[in-house]
Amino acid sequence: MPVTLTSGLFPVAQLPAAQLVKVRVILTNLENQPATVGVVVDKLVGNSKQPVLQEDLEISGDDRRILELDTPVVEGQTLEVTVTVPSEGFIPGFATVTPQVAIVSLFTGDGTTSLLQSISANDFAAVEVASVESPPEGEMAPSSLGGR
Amino acid sequence: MSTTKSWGIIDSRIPTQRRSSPGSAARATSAPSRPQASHVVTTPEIRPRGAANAPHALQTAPVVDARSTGFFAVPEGDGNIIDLHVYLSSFADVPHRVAVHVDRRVGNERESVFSRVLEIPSGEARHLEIGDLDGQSVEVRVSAPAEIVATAAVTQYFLADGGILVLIFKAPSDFVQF
Repeated sequence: MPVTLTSGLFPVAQLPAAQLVKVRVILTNLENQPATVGVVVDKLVGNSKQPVLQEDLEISGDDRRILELDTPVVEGQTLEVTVTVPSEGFIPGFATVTPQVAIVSLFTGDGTTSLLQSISANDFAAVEVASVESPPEGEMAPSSLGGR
Repeated sequence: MSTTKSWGIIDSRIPTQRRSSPGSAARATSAPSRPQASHVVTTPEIRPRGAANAPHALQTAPVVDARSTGFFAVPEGDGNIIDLHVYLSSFADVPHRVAVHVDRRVGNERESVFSRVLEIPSGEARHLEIGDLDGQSVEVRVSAPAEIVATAAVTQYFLADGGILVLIFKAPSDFVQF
């Protein structure tokens, strides 16, 4: 059964014009079998999440894929990376493909790249994705608030 | 989602315990007006456990996790604006209410800086922005079902060029259940 992992919402830096900000989503297949991975990158607009990237990828065994989101899409935005990965690997229950996010800056002057922020596979949280149908207007989970 | 080990919660309205320094600023993008010292917020109140053990409660109430970042140091701004951001992202198929509390450490005491209950519709998100916490030790606590993913960040806004740097990011896994 596939597992959905999310980075949660995170802000992306906004830098002077000489520095370009890019977001890289790195997907590593830990097994020697090909795997199909669903990747969704959402942008926070007001209170809603709008997809800026939605893609199904096939990753060969022992391989890695890197998706790069460009400056105009990501700079100064709040993003969320959600991946759906298979979990029926050699170790049942464990994701066979691990996601990672790197936010990098590219200095246009000398072409160097710096790592601004990294969200590792351990930082992702597993979630159960809601069904497509929304509940009727005004319906709310009865006791959805609490703590200790 | 599992429906076991759940307990019902009722809301109560209490005055906010925000620090009343003139520069303190707490703002939610979902609600444009900033909460003032006299602002009234709702905070969760837990019913006795016995009430939650009623069969109907077990069938209907979702499991609510109380999660915390623990205390962490917010850097000084050096003349630039430091903001604490709390993000709540819903992966649920129904709306949920979420309680968010931000405390700061004053000596050995814990002082509430921000407290609010938000309703998050299915598939939507909320962003809270809290200012004037430079150089403080703060803790973010979120009470929400597991389908609400909480993250937090500290940013530095540079007045000179409009640049924004992310100084601290608290991923979902950085929130521990308590």
